[in-house]
Amino acid sequence: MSGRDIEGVQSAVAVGKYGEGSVSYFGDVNAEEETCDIMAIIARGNGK
Amino acid sequence: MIKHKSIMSTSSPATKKCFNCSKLGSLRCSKCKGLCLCGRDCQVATWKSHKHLCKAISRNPNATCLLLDGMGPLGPGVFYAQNVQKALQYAGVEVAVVNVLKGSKVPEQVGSILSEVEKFSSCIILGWGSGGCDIETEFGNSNIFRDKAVSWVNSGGRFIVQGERPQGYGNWPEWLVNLGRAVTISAQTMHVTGRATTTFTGASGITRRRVPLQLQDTMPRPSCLVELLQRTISSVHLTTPGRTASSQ
Repeated sequence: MSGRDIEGVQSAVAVGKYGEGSVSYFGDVNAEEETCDIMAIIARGNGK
Repeated sequence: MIKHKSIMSTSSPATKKCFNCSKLGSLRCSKCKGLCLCGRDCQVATWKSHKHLCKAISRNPNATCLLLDGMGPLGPGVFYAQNVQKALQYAGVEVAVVNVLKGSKVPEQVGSILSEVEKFSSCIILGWGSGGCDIETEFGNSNIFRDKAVSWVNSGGRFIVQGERPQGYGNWPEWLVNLGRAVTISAQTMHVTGRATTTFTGASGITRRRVPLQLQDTMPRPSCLVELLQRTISSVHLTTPGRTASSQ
């Protein structure tokens, strides 16, 4: 299981650790179910 | 007229600035605990601009996620907020939803709430960078919100932003470079593309946007995060009645 190479610098989701927390950017404007699931997982803490 | 009876609780010692007058105060809003105040006069003066946020974040005492809705051309309560709330519910995350278009000094209030209300471990901002309303600029120009948000993230908060133009409207990613101390973004940053694994094959409409510069210095293959997310997403799907298991 592996991720596909990033195409340029565009992505639906980018996650960065910052200090003890994290910063996440979501580029998906269509609120797809998978996108929202990832957002919820990060909010819950698994993506920290 | 202030309706809730217990207006303030003590927050001693008096080392924090009153939200209204900036004098040192030892009190805070008793309902939401999010604003530091110095006395009843300032509480009364603040209530009109504060009541919307106060009620929103007090409505669910178990909320750990603060969801800021209303930015962008479509306004609050549209499909994105609905879908995210549904996903949060399925993931077991209690959420407090705030309409950022109500009240005034909203960015400053949100910064204060993140700083003072310990229950919030994550903050989601929807539509920041999509354009269409002044509140995006207000958030971007607020030094109080910036400083408190960065400090909150440094202490463990999870800052989540959805929007098309992250460098616009105050360029929030730039904060992390200018204000960061001992930042390790480059070593820890990971990308997940929308169609990176078979988990995502069910999605046809996921869009990608240019990633903030501060998040571009990435590891080439974020397989660990992808697998973690995939496992969690799968478990969410499998344990959630009424949702299709798109990864199976």
